[in-house]
Amino acid sequence: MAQTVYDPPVSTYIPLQTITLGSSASSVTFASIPQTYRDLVLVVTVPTGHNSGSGVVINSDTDYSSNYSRVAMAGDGSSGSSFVNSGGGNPTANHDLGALRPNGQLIAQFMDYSATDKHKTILTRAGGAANDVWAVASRWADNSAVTTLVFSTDGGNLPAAMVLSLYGIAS
Amino acid sequence: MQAIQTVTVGSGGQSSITFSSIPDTYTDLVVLCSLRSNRTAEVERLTFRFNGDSGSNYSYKALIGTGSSKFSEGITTNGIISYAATGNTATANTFGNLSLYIPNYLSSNQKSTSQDGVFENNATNAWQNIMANRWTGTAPINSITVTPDFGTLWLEHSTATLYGILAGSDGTTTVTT
Repeated sequence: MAQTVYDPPVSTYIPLQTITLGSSASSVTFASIPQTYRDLVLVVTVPTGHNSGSGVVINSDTDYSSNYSRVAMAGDGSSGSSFVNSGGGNPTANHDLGALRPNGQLIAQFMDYSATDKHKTILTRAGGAANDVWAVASRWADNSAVTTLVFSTDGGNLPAAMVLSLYGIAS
Repeated sequence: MQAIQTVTVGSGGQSSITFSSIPDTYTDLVVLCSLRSNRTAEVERLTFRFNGDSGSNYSYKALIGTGSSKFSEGITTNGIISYAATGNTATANTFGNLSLYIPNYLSSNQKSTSQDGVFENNATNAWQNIMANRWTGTAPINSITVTPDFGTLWLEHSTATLYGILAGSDGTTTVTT
């Protein structure tokens, strides 16, 4: 067995901020995001018991009807399904990234977030082994660079012990 | 993300790939694999196990697309499974590929993982799967083993790389509730 060990290691996920909620909260805001990376990755770990959709507001843009869209596919263990702009877990107050499930997780990649000449694409994987699994492709119809992200849920507050980490991906 | 270790299977193959003595200095782990087994079939199912636990302590929900159909499944198993490896009747030099993301691997809670994988055989057969997985173990993960479920060996040139991801603050970005 041949093994290759990289020494020194090379880092590509640059940690920007992480938070572990000590108590429930209505939302988590990442602000003053540096414009020096190619992509952003948001990793959310969901504690036992929480079950809802999730949402993100970019740069305080709350024009959900015009500026956010998505296509999603999901599997619940017995059948597969696909939605465009609606469907299971679609929140009414913010833009859906996918499901937050007990003992589950959500990983969202914001592509080319600092560009000022294109709409922004977000690719998300989400779900939990006891419920379902989701893949979501979203678009924010704005050419502005992403400087703030507000993450929330459509099912009440974000629960205590939820962990949210934001990373920058260097090009 | 820092590369911790890469295993490349040599001539003669090997029955499993194991990362052990995983350092406790990261927040998350990622495993990237490129795998082909000696199973006499086009596709191989594989299993990840944490800390040597082969009990029925794992579960998943999967969404799978085959190029012509889709289906979903989810059961309790004795490992984290994936359909993202080729067997030995697949076109020569084709390997299945997958990414397994393990957040908070040092947590004293159950561990959730997320997986993307694909096996593809020269446009004649393909499976793509996304999965949400769970291991009910509450111990920190210190070893990861991946084995073929039907074949007995990973074949030469199969690879697996373990990465560590460290959370933290860059001193610029702010986070508030």
